[in-house]
Amino acid sequence: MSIGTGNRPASVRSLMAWALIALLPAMLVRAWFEGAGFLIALTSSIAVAVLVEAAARHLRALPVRVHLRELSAVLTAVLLVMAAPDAIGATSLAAATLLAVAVGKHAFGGLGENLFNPAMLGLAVLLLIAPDAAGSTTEALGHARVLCGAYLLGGLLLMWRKVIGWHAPLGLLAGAAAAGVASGALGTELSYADFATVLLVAFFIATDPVTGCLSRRGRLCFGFGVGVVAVSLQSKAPNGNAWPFAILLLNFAVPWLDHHSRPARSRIPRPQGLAP
Amino acid sequence: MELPCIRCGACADACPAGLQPQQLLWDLRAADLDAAQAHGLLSCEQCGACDTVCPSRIALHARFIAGGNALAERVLLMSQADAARLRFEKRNARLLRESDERAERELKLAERSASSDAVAAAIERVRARRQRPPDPS
Repeated sequence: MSIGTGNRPASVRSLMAWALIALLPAMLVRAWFEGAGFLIALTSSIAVAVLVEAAARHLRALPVRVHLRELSAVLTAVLLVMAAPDAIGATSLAAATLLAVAVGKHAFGGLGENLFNPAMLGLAVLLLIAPDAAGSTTEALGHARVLCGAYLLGGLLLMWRKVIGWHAPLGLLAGAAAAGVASGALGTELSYADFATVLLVAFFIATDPVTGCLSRRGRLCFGFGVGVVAVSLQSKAPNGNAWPFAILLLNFAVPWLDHHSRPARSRIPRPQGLAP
Repeated sequence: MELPCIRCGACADACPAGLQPQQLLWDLRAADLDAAQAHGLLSCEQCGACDTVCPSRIALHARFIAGGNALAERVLLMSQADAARLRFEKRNARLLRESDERAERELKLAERSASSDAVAAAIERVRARRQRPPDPS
């Protein structure tokens, strides 16, 4: 996957910025339909994320301002809020964001060193601790459809700008579809709200480069695994939302996937017996 | 400002030698020259394409030049050490062989000298020298 278009190569900041831009339609849709509650949750989570990021950098004696500009903390907060069920309050989301940035990211070593997707880690902990706070989404049907369209638009934008590749999203959709067909849930129980979550995870969360695979084949397998696991565990997960747990499980499998699927273009034979 | 590697894989796509620069980066950061060699660091053409596409602006090109030099130096030192070891082993073998041959010669000489013919001949030689008048030289 080559990053960025045009003559200038991408920077981490531009990748994060494009992801945020691609999420903007969905954020606007939710803000329009859900109003102030969503906006408060979003801004408070972003504020918490930025503060925790700055504090962590300061404690680790790293330059604060330069690294804040890379926007990854903002993206973590936004993804967590977007992926969380609507009924969770702003305080819980802010606490989950704190956990996500402090533990999910900095406890592992900061940008590029985390094994697990920080937003999904925060969300998983939140869902485990307070499952009853996660009520089912009750927005109107039109809302969910528009949200699906917004996520799809954002995903296509990212693929057009070559910020993400198609392997992880396609793998995820295929895996989710396969598991859905196998369990019989595809035709009957899928609502547009569920599909919106599928699209969000497919385009924005499963494509995180730090916690995903390096090779295209690996990314395909990663996405497929996430889709299969999430749909299969749907009945057992709190609030029927198994996506954070599926992502975390596959994050754990990423080193193994990388070791067994060398990038296709590589001409170097696989080193035998060496750690990946 | 160099940011950490975000595992995007753009460097691997850009490399004309088919290497995986991110893997080489991790190997060199861990100072693991064996792993770097196994991943093909010596095949690096030092073109700098990976450097150009890296979103984190990691100085891959400079690292691979330095790492490649360190690896080449290590390979040279190892080959010199191997040659020195070979010479040492051959010298030891030669010395052993020579001492064996010398021991054999001395053994043969001792056997010859210990036989009665040799003793009688030696006694004859001494008697003849005593009876012969000394040379006026």
